[in-house]
Parts: sequence; structure tokens; C-alpha cells
Amino acid sequence: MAFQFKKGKLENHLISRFLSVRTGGGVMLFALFIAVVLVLITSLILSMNAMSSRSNDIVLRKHTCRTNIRNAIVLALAKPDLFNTGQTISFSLFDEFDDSVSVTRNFWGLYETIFVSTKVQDHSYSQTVLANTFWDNSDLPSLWINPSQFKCKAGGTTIIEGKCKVPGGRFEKTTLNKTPFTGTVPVSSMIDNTDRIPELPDYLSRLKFEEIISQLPPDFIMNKGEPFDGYRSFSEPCLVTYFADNTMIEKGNISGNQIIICNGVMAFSAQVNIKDIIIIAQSILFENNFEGSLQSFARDSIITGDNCTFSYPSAFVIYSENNNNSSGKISLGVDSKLSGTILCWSIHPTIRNHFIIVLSEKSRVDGNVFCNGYTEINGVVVGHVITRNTLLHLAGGAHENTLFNCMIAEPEKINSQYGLNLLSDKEKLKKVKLLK
Amino acid sequence: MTKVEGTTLIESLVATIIILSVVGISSIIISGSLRSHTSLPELQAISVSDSLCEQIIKEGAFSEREFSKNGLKYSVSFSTYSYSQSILKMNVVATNSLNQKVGSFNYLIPNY
Repeated sequence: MAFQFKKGKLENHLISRFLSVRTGGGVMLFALFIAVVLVLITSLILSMNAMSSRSNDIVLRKHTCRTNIRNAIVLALAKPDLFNTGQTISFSLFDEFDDSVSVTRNFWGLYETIFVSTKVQDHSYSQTVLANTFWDNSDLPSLWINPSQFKCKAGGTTIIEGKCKVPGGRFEKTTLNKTPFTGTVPVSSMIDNTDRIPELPDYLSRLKFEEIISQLPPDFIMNKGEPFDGYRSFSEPCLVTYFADNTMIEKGNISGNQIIICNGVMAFSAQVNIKDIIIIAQSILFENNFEGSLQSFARDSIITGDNCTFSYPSAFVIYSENNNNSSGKISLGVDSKLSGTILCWSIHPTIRNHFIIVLSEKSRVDGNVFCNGYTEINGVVVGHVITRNTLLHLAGGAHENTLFNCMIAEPEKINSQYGLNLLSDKEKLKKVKLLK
Repeated sequence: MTKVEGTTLIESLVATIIILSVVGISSIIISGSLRSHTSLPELQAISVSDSLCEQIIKEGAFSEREFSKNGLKYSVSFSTYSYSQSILKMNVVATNSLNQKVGSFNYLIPNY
């Protein structure tokens, strides 16, 4: 027993000595140092991973938003009758998670805007598209003149392409100003005896000068000061700036979701930058060298100076009840260009009020021209001309249904959308451009 | 005053246990975090689905198909969209090698 006791005591002593042996370095301090370093590295990796994960989540959400917007635009363009103008419709695209969208359809002059928005968790996204239903030009002749006792004469270097509807079903090649005809006209199989150009359809009544002010977008903001300087987004309410008297705007950038209304003559200098807006006035004037893209609606006249450029999609419209029996005139200056649509139409035409479109020398219209009065073509129209009569002024006097040194050419496919066929309202919308 | 010259064995053992614990816990946290948060396959699937949709619209080849790309399997199907007969609904479902759904994407295609 004594031996065993001694043996146990010895073992405890040895263990105690073994455990209390001190090494030469600070292992504990080293271990703590390593632990701290590892914790820091772990934190760094975790935070980087969290940032990467957050970035991936944002990419996923943005993609979901973009896909929702794209799909909603496809639906709104293909099925516009699901969306009444002036109303916002909210719905789920596929009755699934994260696919809710809101669609608002509004008229924007000759065109329409489709505003689509979506929200996926805390990320929201919106897009506005400019579109129109008047995109089918397939049945529209290149030149359509109303039945008349005056046959259509072509003189000088006049070039006419495409199908035509003219009085008598043929062109008379003629010598004018001592210049023999050297141009080209379509072969007889391309020319039909004309029939009466129809009245503008009821759906265009919203474009009448007397109606258009009552068709302003809902929730617009009325402004009686200076117009907004810059591009006003279509995701914001429309800003309507009203001028009570004749007004000249000399500089600035008036663009986007804005409408300018003037109860008089509205004039713009070449220093004004205009894009996508609507202008409504008694008369509208543009100085020489003006450049912009806009839709103008006037009661009396729209006159441009020389060397002006109106980019696609632009429109000049005089469409009025004409109650005071006055004339309406749209004039595109020398060397000026317009891509879009020109409409000069009296609802109650009389012998005393002549609605007239004048396309000056070296002017060019990429698009369509509609007039139930006279159209004087001295330049180039790449598109369609629908007019009651054409008119030519020479030193010897005025010649009805006579074309001289001008051109009406068939548009290439890519340009065929520039002009709207106002006589054909399709059930589907076609995209014109994306708006900011 | 006693002067401490070094570390006892028991202190070394405790230090080793601390280091191993920290290393172990860090590894578990990092690997778990990586596994639970990574979205790379879904991003990959988005890119492939978007390109596929553009290609199908361009070529007008609206046929159902299945294919694999970068370890993900894609299944493409078409149906008429409920709101309009004139719109096709294209659905792309991406699955990984374990047959787990990585993503499902719907595209509307006008047929005019």
C-alpha cells in the first residue's frame, strides 16, 4: 500500500512537472495573434462575398425589371385596346412572382405614348415608347389627286414613281417655260383613273385645332412662365406652357414632355433646341436654319424659313373647322427638310378659303403629305402626296394639277414608316422610338 | 516577483484549440456563405436566355428545344399568351446538373 501510495504521488508529481514545463517562446500570444488574423481574413472574405452577392442581386432585379418592361411594351403595342387612353392599368404579366407592371397610354399629337413601369423589391424601372397606329402605307398611292377637269401635267425634270391615282388615269407630258419634259412618269399600268379622296376619318377629330386642347394628357401641370429648360422626362407629368400673346422664343432647350400653347403667333429662332414636344398656336413660324423634332398644330399657318431641318418624327398639322372662313397655309422653306407627316385640311372647305401646302425649291419631305386644298411641290417628296389639286406658279400665272421640276419617289423600306397613313387606323401600334 | 520565461504545455494546448476553432468556424462560415449567396448560374442563365430570345425572333424559328451550355440545361417552350392570341409566350427554364431549377424566364413575342 505504501509503495502504491508513493507510486501515485510520483505520477502526480511528474504530470504536474510536465504540465508546468515552460517553452522558450510566447505560444499563447502567437495563438491569439493567429486567431485575430484569421478573424480579420474571415470578415474580409465575408464582406466581399456579401458585396458580390448584393451586386448579383441587383443585376437579377434589374434584369427582371427590364424583362417586365419589354414584355409589357410588346403587349401594349399588340393589344392597345386593353389600355384606354388616359388611364393607368396595373396587372401581373404571367400571374407569377415579381412580374407586376403598370401601363399608361396617352395620345401625343399624331402619335401615342406608352408609359410602362415596374417595381421588383426595392428596384423600380420605367420606359416610355412613342408609337402609332397609322403605319400601314401599303394601300396609299404615291400621288392621289381628286377628280378634276384638269388632267395632270408633268413638265421639266419631274420624276414620279409608284402607283398613282390622277384625273383621266394618265400624265400629260408637257413643255413648260420652254423646257421640254425630260423626267419620268409611271407606266400606264401603274396609273388609275382617280376617285374622290375621302374625308378624314372620325378618329382623327382629336387632331382638330378646336379639339386638341381638350385632349391634353391627364395630370398635366399648367405653367404661365417660361417653358422648362431641358428635356422633361415622360415619366413626369406633362408641362403645358401657355402664352396669351404673340411670342418669340429666342434661345433655350425646350424638349421632352412639354406642350407649348400660344393664343397668337408663336415664333422660334434658330438658337432654340426643340425635341419631341407639341406646339399649338394660331400661327407658328420658324426662323432660317432652325433644327428640331416636333409636332406643330396651327389654325392659320405654319411657315418655316430656309435651310430648316425637322427630324423624324415631326408633323405639321392644320386641321380646323375653319369657322371664320380663313385660309390655312403650310410652307416648307427653300433647302428645308422634314421627316414625318404634313396635314393641311379644312373641315368645311369653301371656294373662298384655300388650304395650301407649299414645298419650296430644294425642299425635301420624307413622309406623307395630305391636303384637301392645293399642294405646290417644288422639291422632293419621298413618300405619298394626297391632295385635292396640285398647283404651280410660273411667271405666266398659276397652273392647276401641273408638276414641274419636282419629284415624288417611292420610299425605301427603312423610310416607309416616316409618313403616317392617316386614312388607315390599324388595331396594333408600331414603335417609333424610345423616349426618355 | 516571479519572472515568466515561457508558455506551459497546457497553455500551448489551449492556444492550439483556439486556432483550430477559429479556423474551423471561419471555414464553415465562408463555405456556407459562398454556397448560399452565389448567383452566378442564374446570371449565366439570364445571358443565355436573352441571347436565345433575340436569336429566335431574328430567325423566326419558334420550335421547342432543349440544350446544354456551360453545365446548365435549358428547356425552351412556346405557348399562346393569355391576354392576346397574337402574342407568343416563350418560356426558358434553366436547370443545373442536380436537376434543380436555376431560373425561369418568360418572353413575349409579337407575331406580326
